[in-house]
Order: sequence, then structure tokens, then C-alpha cells
Amino acid sequence: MKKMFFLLPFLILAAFTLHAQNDAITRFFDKYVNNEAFTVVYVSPKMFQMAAKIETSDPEWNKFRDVVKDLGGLRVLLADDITNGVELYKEASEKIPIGEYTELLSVRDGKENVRIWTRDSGDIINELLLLVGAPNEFVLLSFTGKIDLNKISTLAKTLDIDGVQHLEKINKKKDKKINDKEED
Amino acid sequence: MKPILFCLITFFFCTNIAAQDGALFWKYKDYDGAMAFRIPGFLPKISSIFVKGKEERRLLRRVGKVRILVFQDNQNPIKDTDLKRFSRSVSNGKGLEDLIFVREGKTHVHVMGKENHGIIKKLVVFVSEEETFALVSVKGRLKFKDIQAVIDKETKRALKKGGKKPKIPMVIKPPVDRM
Repeated sequence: MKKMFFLLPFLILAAFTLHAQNDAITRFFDKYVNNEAFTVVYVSPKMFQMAAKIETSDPEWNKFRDVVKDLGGLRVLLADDITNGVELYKEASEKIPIGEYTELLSVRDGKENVRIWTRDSGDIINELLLLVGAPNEFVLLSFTGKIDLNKISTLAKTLDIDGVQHLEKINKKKDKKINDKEED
Repeated sequence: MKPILFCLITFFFCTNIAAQDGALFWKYKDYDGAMAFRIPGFLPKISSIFVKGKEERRLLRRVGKVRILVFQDNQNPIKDTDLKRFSRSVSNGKGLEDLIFVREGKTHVHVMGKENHGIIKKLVVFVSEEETFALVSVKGRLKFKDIQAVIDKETKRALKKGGKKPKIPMVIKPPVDRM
């Protein structure tokens, strides 16, 4: 009984302490979140849930609802007035734990690099990471939740955030794979 | 030993009570340059009588108290420590939940809310720039179906007028200028 009373305040302290996700990507976000050279966007799971509860007669909105209803959250870190975009891209790439993430797409167009990774458990994709690096641009975007790759590119058209348009490349890659199979 | 432990536990509880939007409002409302408004709960309900649309009236009747605090023209006295404490209080789960946060340079936009079973009980929006600040806090019992009804009505009205679908405002459009 005495031990319980002794431990109780420590247990309560632990309950009130914030436990942020202690992974490398989160640490990378946290490193630059207060840097004024970066734009930070965070949309919470709660916001997606609330958006999904609004039904209208507009089919475009309903398509958007269908995509976001299972999303956990969105974090974006972007900088478009920098000169060290490539260095940031390399730094972020090194932080991605290769064992946990699967590379879905890698595109290099001149000096612009785009890579997309996913983290899944079984058939469900739990996280999608988009990394864009160019001399004057850097984007790191993370979607969490139950992600449907077929629908995620719909968000690219809806979200007016620089860098998100690269998500459309996922569908283009899929279409290319289907076309290649048909040709074979 | 037991009274000491009880005092320790009480102390830890008290130190975790952090500033909410009301505390921010009351602290700064009397500062020079502040435009502070408090709209009591009955006023939106009375003013709904003068609103034509049934859906808009229903939505307005669900609005309760509104608090607005604005600083402009280079008169923003809000300290960063107060904003951070306020943001932390939201993160600590003291009622309000983070919905959207956007920061670009020195501009912060933070939207927080409290929602339960399809009813939005509180919505707080604050926009902070170097020279200006705005805080809007709305309490009420806003139902999603009432918001839906207004959106649907506006969509139909726009289609009748111009034959074009109005652009539904994107929920997740960060209100920052493109570089």
C-alpha cells in the first residue's frame, strides 16, 4: 500500500507528459519546425474526421470525403526560397529508416528529385512519405492513416499546397505499368 | 506522509492548468490598440430573426457566445510565450483539439475546436503576424447537418444563377500567399 502511494505521483506525471512519436522523420520535422525559412502545415486527424462528416450533393466533395475519412493526419514541411534544397533532401533521405519504409516511386528530372515511400502493415498503408529536393525547393510531406493509393492522388488536386502535385505521379506510374503489361 | 503526497499530487494538477483562449482574450483586451468584442449567446439567436434563409437561420441559432480580439496597424503586443503556452495547452488536451496549424515565416494560423458526436461546441481561430493579431472564439452547438444544408443551398442557388457549380472552399487550403 505504501509503495502504491509512493508510485502514484510518478504515474500521474507520466500520464500528463506528451509522448511525441520518437521516430527519425518526426525528429527531422521538429528540427526545422521553428525555422522561419520553412513553411509548416499540420492537419490533424480530427480535422479530417470532421471534414468527412460533412455530406453535400457535390460529387467532387464526396470524392474528397471518401479519401480523407480514413486519413490520420498530414504534416508538410516546405521551403521554396532556399539555396540548399539538395542538401536538405539528402539529409532527409538518410533519416528514412529503410527497413520500415518501402520506396514506391523515384523520379529525377534534371536537378529535381522526387521520392515517395510507404509504410504498411499487411495490406494497409499506414504512412506515405513524399520527399522533393531541388536547389531552390524542399518538400517533406507525411500522410498517416489508412491510405488508399488509388484515391490519394485525388487529394493532390484538392490540396492547394506546393509539392502535393507530385502525388499524381503515383497514378501515372500505375498507368504506365498497366500499359507496359498490355504491350507485353 | 499521506498529506505530503496529497499536496504533491494537487500541486502537479494545478501546474498543468494552462492558458486557454479566454485567458488570452482577458489578458490583452484592454491593451492599447485592441479591438475586443464579446457577443453574448442570446444575440445571434435574436439576430437570426432578420435572416431570410431557413438554413442560415437554423445555423445562426446554434451559435452561442462569440469573442473577438484584433490588433492591427503594427500594434500586436501578444508575446510569443503566451502563444506557445496557448498552443501547448491545446496539445495537452485541455478541451480544445488541434485542427489545422500553418506557419509561414512569422505568420501563424491556428484553428482549434471541440467536437463531440457531430456537434461542434467550440471553434477557435487565431492568426498572428508580426504586426497584426486576430483571435475569434465561437461557442455553440453547430451541427454538421446544418452546415451541410447551407452549403447545399448555396450550391443550388449558384447553379440556378450561372449554371456553374461554385467552387467549394477547400477545407485544407493554407491561407498563406504563394511565394
